[in-house]
Amino acid sequence: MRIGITKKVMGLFTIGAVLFFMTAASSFFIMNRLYGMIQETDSALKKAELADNLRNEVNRLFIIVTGFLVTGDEAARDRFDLTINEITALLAEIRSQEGSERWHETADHMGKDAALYAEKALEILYVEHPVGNEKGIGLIKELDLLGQDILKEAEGFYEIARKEVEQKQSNAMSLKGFLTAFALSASGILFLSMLVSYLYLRKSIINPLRELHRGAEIIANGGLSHRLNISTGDEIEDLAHEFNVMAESLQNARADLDKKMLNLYALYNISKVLSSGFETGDVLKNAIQSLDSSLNIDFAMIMLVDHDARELSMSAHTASAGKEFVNRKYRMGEGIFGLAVIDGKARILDSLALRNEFKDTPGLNLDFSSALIIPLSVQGRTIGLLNVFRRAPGSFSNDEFNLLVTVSEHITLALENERLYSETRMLATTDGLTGLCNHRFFRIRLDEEIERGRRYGHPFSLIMIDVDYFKNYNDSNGHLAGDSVLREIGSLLKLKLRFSDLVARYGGEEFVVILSETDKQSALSMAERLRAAVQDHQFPFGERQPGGRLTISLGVASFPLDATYSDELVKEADSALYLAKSAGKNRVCGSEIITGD
Amino acid sequence: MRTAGNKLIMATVFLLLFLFDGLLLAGEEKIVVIVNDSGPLTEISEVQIKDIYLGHLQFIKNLRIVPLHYRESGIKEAFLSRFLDTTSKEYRRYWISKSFQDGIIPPPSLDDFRQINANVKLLPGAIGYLPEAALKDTEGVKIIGSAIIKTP
Repeated sequence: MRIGITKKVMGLFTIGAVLFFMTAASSFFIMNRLYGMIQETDSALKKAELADNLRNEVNRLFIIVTGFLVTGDEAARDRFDLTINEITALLAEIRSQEGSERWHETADHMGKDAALYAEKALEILYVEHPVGNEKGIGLIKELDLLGQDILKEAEGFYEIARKEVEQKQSNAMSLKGFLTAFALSASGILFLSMLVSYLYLRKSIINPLRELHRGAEIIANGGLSHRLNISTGDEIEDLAHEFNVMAESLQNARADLDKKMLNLYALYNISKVLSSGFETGDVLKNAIQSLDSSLNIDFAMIMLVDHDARELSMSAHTASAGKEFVNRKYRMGEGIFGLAVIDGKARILDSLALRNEFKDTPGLNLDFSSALIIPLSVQGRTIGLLNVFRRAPGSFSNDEFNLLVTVSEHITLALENERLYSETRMLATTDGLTGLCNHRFFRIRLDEEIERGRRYGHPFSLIMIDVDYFKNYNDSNGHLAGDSVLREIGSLLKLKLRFSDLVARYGGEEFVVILSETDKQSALSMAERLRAAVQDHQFPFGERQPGGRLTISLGVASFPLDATYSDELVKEADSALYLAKSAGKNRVCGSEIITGD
Repeated sequence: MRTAGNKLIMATVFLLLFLFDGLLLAGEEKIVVIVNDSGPLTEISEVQIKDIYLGHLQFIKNLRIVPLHYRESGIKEAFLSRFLDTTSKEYRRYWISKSFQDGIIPPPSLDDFRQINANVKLLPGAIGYLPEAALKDTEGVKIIGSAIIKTP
């Protein structure tokens, strides 16, 4: 049942007021009774006093008449009158008192006896020659006897009154006992009701308020999971409920914030990782590891589309990779991954096992129930996929989805950067026409080789190559054909050389080759092989060249045999080439040795 | 001489009478009954005087009547004899039974004529008696009856 604080307090107040009025009323009645009793006691005392006075007055009559017989003074009659007046007044007062039947009977009797006594006394007062009168003395004796009776009656009166006083006193004593009991029990009831009120207030208001205060303090100090359990059925309970709702909201908001914080932190980590390297493999691997450690995911992987945009293959994955994934390649449009690459749409998949797409995706582990598949897109072109999996169904929130989309953008950016970097580096070191290394790169490699040769004492050789009658070829067949021939020669040279060797376009129709770890003799024979290869190759319009064939001339110089500085070495090779040209072209020249036809 | 002697005796008696306030009375003396002249008692009869002094008549026109006696004396005896036809002894006996029975206080006695005179003058319901010679202050006082008594 619901009872508000106002009702509770008013209820207690009403009970208190009722108790107060009951006590006040009882006190009033008791006081009234006490007052009545005091009055009764007073009247009883007064009766006793009246009886005593009456006895005294009767005695006075006796004294007056005996005095008269001694002095004979007639003024005794006036004193007699006064005493009679007194007795009359006393009798009237005695009669007027409230009292028992016996009291009134005694009073009547007393009145009659007093009248008799007074009449007898009167006789004495009118005795002639009163002084020492015999008759008078006889009458005095009679009067004395009568007086004894009256005195006895007065005693009786007194006794009645005294008994009445005693009765009242014992009544008062019993009233005192009752009063004490009443005071004690009233105090007890008041104390008990106060105690009960206090306990009730404590239980229903004070304690819940304390609990509320304590709970509010805990919540205020960050204990957001704390809940108040107050069931007083009043405003305090409402308040506690509001507090709980508030704490719940705060807790949720806090959890959201924490999650967002975590996500942002993950994003920060991934961004940091992504911006730290330029090597594709490392970047992706680090990104995946960051994802794995920041977000509570079961499996993550990055797939990249290959160069000719035909297949999708695994580039990086977390340690818990499903084995069947790792070496698997998907064609465009094959399975969910192939589809995602084609339509470029990011998707949240709630229950993997229920998706028809996955039935068509070979090798997918159906152990996972939630997945995010996010294309990595550059200018509308999808270059790969970021895929994240969890075992629990429906476990990816929109926040996480958004986060991973952002992550995917970062990854894309990193990939793009990496690609641009490689491209730029290639452009810087490659000859645009032939795809061989350019002159600049050649000089760098040459310096490196000389450095290495000096340090380790290893020899290496340099071959300078010039296409014979190339101007003629260009003039006859056009520059495009010339360019094509240069490309073809480049390929041919590259094909014939070892992997560790370097072939570069030196400029115009000149090429240069660095042969690592190669002495002059070996270099000469390699040069000869190159010359022969070109001579034997069927170039377009080769027959139009002088001699009916397209040929090259080659000059060889070796480190440290011919020179120990790069410029000198180049110069030596150039001189050797010049010798070869002068000697009739299509031949190899060392410093002095000449091979060829 | 004898006349002169009588006169001298008479004068002496009057002087004594005057001096001793009637203690030594000889011959006749006139006593008067007086009431307050503003009260209702001015018109009462001798029978009513008797009723008043016997306690039968206590109120006239809602006014309490206050009867006054002179102390035990020949004057009181004479008043009782003339107006109540009784003696002081019988009168006392009457009042003992009357007062003890009915609770009515008997009319009080005063020791002094001046007191009687003054009381009657003061109280509208007062009635009293005194020798005519002792009536000094007649203002506000009305005489409603008188009696001649023989003094021994």
